[in-house]
Order: sequence, then structure tokens, then C-alpha cells
Amino acid sequence: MYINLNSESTLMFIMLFFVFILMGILPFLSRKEILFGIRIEKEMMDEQTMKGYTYKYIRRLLFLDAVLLIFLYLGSMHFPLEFVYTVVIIGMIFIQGFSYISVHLEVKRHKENFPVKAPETVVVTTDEKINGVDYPLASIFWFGIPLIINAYMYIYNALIYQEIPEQLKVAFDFNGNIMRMVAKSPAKVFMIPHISLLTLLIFVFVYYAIKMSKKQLDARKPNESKERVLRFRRIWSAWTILMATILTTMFFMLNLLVIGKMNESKTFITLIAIVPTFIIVLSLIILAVYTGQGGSRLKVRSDEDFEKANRNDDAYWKLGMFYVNKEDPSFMVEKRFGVGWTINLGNRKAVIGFVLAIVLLIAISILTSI
Amino acid sequence: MILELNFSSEVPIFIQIRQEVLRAIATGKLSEGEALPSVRQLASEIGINMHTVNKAYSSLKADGFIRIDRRKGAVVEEKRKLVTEAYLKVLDTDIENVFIEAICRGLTEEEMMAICREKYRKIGGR
Repeated sequence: MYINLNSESTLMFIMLFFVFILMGILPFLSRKEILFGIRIEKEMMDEQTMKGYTYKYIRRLLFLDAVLLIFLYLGSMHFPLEFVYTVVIIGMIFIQGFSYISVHLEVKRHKENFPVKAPETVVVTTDEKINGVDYPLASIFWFGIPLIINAYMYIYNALIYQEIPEQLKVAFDFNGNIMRMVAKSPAKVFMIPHISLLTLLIFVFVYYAIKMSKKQLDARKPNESKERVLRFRRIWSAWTILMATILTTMFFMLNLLVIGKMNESKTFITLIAIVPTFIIVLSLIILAVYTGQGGSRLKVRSDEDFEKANRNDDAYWKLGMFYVNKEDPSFMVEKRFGVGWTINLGNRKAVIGFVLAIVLLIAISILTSI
Repeated sequence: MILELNFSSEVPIFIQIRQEVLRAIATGKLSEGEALPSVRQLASEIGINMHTVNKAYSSLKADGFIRIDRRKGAVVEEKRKLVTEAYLKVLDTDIENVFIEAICRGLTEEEMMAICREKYRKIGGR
């Protein structure tokens, strides 16, 4: 057996498995009016046909990933595990892209044979109420908790600066061995609090993206979709706050480790590395399955069915994945495939902001490895 | 409050927006002093250019139905008599068109008045 089943490779495989599961369940999470990035109306196809497309996608995903797995096994005999792992991840992304796009194009062709007769309607809400009661996002003041933890990191490091050893331990392996040390300096001592603060800011940014995004309603069921969308936004806004708190706590522990106030025991290191990641990935999957995109999987009393069609905005959705609409002042809109939001690539400011965010993340990665 | 816009209709969107806002005010869904979404917000929600929403809001403002409050943005004005000469002319033409067809189809005065009364009350006028 050439694949060493030590803790590192086991971890890697578990993550790959989660990624695969996530890719496979994506079709089940979309809004009911959207199928593989194409907006469909009831009259265009029946449930059976819709399911057919979903199973086609899953079959392609399974088959191609299985082939990839074989290459993984063969490759692990000749190449280092990290390299093979990277190739597999990239391969899985391409496979998923291919599976999705091929089915997307088939659905698109199917739609062309069924012109819509009902008037194309857009329904919007001017308030954020469910049954007359306000239903806003989770209060932004909850970010105060991770903020306080972060502030405490700074204060603590500053207060005990003298006590911190001259050599900071900055990299560990899962056995508790120190892999790298750097000379103490203000920049290095406060690096983790800086990164923690930046991570917090990223989550605040995500919170705002949710807040600013449009509440997409279904013209056939305006009140039902309104309730779904409002609950969906609130749940995910609360999630950003919770994740920010968990990550800040992790950074707090890491900080203690680096400045020497905590022992580099195997258990501790494994816990810091694994627990937050698992919580985030697991909560993401569970929550995505619970809510569905736009709240499509939430339990809501449904009785409406106005004989209308939603506005056919397929033209703005390139490959059903990229939203490009210069007329629309929105920065972010709900994704069509998957759970979450995506940038309006037709909005110049949004694109600049997006590019800046990526540049920032790359810059941080580079700075922290120095 | 939910606004509905028909993109397949011949009626321009900015007129539809104006109509929907007036409908909301008439039926009480939007009350005096209540804020409307900003031009950008509404344009973003609908997914159209801000100019279109601006046109609708400008016409509503020009006719005195809404005003721009420094803090709250576009706000519904208090209901008062806004019956102008220009409006009466438009009303006259619209009603004439409605009555012409009704008369041709044999609707009596009583039947027509009953329909009008019911509709007016249903919307919320007094």
C-alpha cells in the first residue's frame, strides 16, 4: 500500500470526500425556479425531466471523479502526496465545471423549445417584514465579541512583550515538533493579531454583502419567497458572525502558542488546526442543505401560485454562473448554482473591489510566509 | 410591501413604478411619512438602471405625492387635495374612454356607478 494512512493523508482524504459531497448536492440546493443556471417555468418541463438532468450531472461527476481517483492511487506511488493531492483538487474542480456546463447547455437547449406565454414579471419588496413584523439580519453588534477577543490579543501581546522569548515558534507539524522559528520583532509578534483582524474584516465584508444584496422574489409566490429570502439572509448573516468568532478564538489560541504561553502539545496543535476548519466546513454544508439557496429548502407555508412568469434574465447569466448586467446597480446577487452570492461583473466598482480583495489575500499569504 | 412590474407590457417601467407606488399609497400599504427605498436600492432590487427609477420618483415628487427628506430619503407626503387642472384634464380623457366602451356595450348608468363605487371602496378611498 503506497498511500500512507497517517494523520495528514487521512485528513486530506476526508476533506476531498467533503468536497465531493458538496459538489454532488449542489443541484438539490438551488432555487426551484433555476435549473443548472437556467431559469425555468413550470410549463417547460416536468419533475421527472428535471430530476433526469440532476442525475445526469451526478453520474458524470461520479464517473469522472472515479477515474481521477485511480490516477490518484497510481500517482501516489511515484509522486509526493502533496503534489498528487493538489492535482486531484484541481482535477475535481475541472470535472465539476465540465459536468455542470454540459448539463447547463442541455437545459438551455431544452428551454429554447418552450417559449414562455405568461407575462414576464418582476416582484420586489420595499420592506423587510414577515407578516408585518420586522425581520432584519442578525445584529451587527454581535461582531463586538470577536472584536473584543482580537483587541485583547493586541493588548496582551503588548503588555507581556518583554516576556516573549527571542525566538518565536511559527510553524508546527501534527506531532508537536517545531518546524520554524523567527526572530522576535514587533512586526512578527503582532502578525497573528493582524491576520485575525483582517479575517474578522473579511467576515464583516461578507455580512455587508448579504445586507446589500437584492431580495430576489418569485413572481408566482411573492409572499412565500419573501419569507424564504428574509430568513435565508438572517441565518447566513448570523453564520458570518459565529464563524468570525470561532476563527478569532482559534487565532487567539495560536497566538498563545507562538509567543510561548502555551505548550506545543500534539493534542493542542491538532485541535487548533482541525476543529475550526471542521466546524466551518461542516456548518457550511449543513446550513446550505437546511436553507437551500434563497431559503428554497426552508419549511414555509405555501399557498400562492399566481399565473405569472419571472422575467427571463438568462441573457445576463453567462454559462449560468457569471452575472453581467451593466444596467443593474447591484454589487452582488444570489448565485444561480450553489448557495451564496456572486459579484455583478457588469458593475465596475464591484469588479474592482473583488480584484482588490483577491490581491489583499495574496499579499497576506506572501507576507506571512516571509 | 410588494411591487409588481410587468416586463412584457407596453407600459414603460417608470410609469409602472409610479403606478405601483400610487397604488400602495391609495390602499394604505404605504402610509404618510413612510420612507420609500432609495433610488439605488429600488433599482438594484428590480435590476434596472437608476435613471428609470429616478424618472418615476421625479414624477411622483413633481405631483406632490412624495418628498425628499434629508434623513429618510424619499418619503410619502401627507394626503391632501392635489386636484389640479392638468390632472382633471387627464381624468376626463381616461373616464371618457372607459365610458365610451361601456355605453357601446350597453352598461347602464346605475350599473356603471355601482361598479365604480365598489372599486373605489375596495381600493380604500372614502
